[in-house]
Amino acid sequence: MKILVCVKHVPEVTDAEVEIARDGRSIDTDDLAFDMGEWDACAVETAVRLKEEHGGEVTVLTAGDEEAEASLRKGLAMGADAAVRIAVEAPPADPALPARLIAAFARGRGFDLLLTGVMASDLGYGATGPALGGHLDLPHATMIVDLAVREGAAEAVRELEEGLKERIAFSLPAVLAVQTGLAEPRYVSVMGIRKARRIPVEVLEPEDLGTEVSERVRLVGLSPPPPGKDVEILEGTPGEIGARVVDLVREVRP
Amino acid sequence: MTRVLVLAEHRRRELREVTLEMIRAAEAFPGAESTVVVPGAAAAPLAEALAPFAARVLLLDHPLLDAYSPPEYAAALRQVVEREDPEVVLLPHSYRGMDLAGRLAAVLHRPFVTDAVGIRPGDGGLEIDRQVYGGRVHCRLVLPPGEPVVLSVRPTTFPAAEPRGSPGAVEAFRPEGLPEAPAVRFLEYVEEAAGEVDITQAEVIVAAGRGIGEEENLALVRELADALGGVLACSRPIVDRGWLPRSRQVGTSGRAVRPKVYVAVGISGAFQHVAGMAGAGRVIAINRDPNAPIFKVADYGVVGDLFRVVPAIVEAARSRGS
Repeated sequence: MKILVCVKHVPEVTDAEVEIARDGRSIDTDDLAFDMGEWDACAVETAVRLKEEHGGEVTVLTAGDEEAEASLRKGLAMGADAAVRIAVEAPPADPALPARLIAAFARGRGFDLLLTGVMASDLGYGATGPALGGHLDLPHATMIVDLAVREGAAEAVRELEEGLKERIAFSLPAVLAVQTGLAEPRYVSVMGIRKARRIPVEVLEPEDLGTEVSERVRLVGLSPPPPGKDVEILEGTPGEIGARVVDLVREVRP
Repeated sequence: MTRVLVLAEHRRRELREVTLEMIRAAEAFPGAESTVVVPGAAAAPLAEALAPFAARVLLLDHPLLDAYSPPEYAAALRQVVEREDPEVVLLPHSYRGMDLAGRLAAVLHRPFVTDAVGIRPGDGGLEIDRQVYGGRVHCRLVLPPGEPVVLSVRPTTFPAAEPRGSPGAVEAFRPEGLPEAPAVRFLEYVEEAAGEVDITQAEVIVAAGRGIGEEENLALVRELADALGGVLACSRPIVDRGWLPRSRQVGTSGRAVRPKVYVAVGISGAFQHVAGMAGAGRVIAINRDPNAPIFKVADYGVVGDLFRVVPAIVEAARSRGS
């Protein structure tokens, strides 16, 4: 089975301070740690497990700058066989661009399965998988939390709202966007990543793929989020804060 | 005048609330003339039910569209777009809308933006507000002026539309050339097994998030829940790691809860989580990051190390008895 996994190299923002750069159009990346997107890592893990089960080969791909190759190296260390970078300045504001570039690469290369994460933690459009399905005229499904692949076909479970899920079936080739939790990404050591350096990363310019970088959605600017509720921050010693929290709970529910 | 096509969403023969929100969102466009598109032959009663809320309702009268399959949905909507020539195609950024928006835009060759939380039409193009980097940054985008667009809007951004003075017209359109069988075949719904506790009924919820770090630290949060007479819940990462069952998850894909008090421990406050606790009374958030989005929806906040704060609250609760 021939599998393509599309990943994005993104800053870890869960516990980080995200500062807007002086230009007002980008974020200050100096103090941020970058890694393969959380959802994408589940997609790579899923692909590698399918390869281990059915045989075949896994290619990891990113549309990004040179820094993004770190995520490709991680993909290789996780068990991918080949890596491709489509050279663009990351990240484009237009949600249409990555899928258009990936489609230009994937067309005619005979992938049985094209995987990606449901979304990325930077811009979070969640659009690359579905748009890729549209460009390649292949069935697609997102929010995949369970997957079973058989000869030329697959069954999957996709998540819906409020604890509900649905089971679906489709034939391959297909495009799937993977939800976290489908497959816990394996741990890769620094040594593993170093070993993966022996595998070269193929770098392609959009022009090599017969396409170009053009964006129809334009970024106007970034700003701090608008103020939310008027939160009261509790101050004091842990003991004082503890007592206050207990009061706040018991005021409402004695 | 702006022609807006609003895609209705239904599940198990019931309209989803987001549909009325999208009808309301369409009003953000100057002189909006909205047509609500209701997919599926079996959805005829739902098309009728929407008539009081919209000037015009268009039933996509084809049995293949009764169950969702992205290629055929996109193909059918393409025919509608060719017929109606709308400037805006509007759909919710629900799980289904998220599944469709990118494909629809690709098939229509139209520029698009997903998950909008603000819409400002202007002469320079349609300006869109979004939340990026996990809700830590606000982003303004502009779509090209004069070009028709596809737009998905975050649920709960707009209130539900109210009934209009006179009900709108309901028309039917049968898309042509759809295949015999859908490319993505719906087999069945899978219900979450009921958990040992029903967090939707809890008056006090203490919820653990990624910030607890290790599974063993869950005991600390459980202790806090017990000390406050509450129920232990969590955000998605805790379930993904298998530390708690899905029945304990608060959020879009988990449960929506309405406790009197919600204590969020080490939860950053991603939109998908916040959507599930919007009905909570008093919200108390504990997080070491003062910029965590959870503080935007909290009434009270403790900025600090949960491993110091949580034991102090447990201690205070115990020393005063219950």
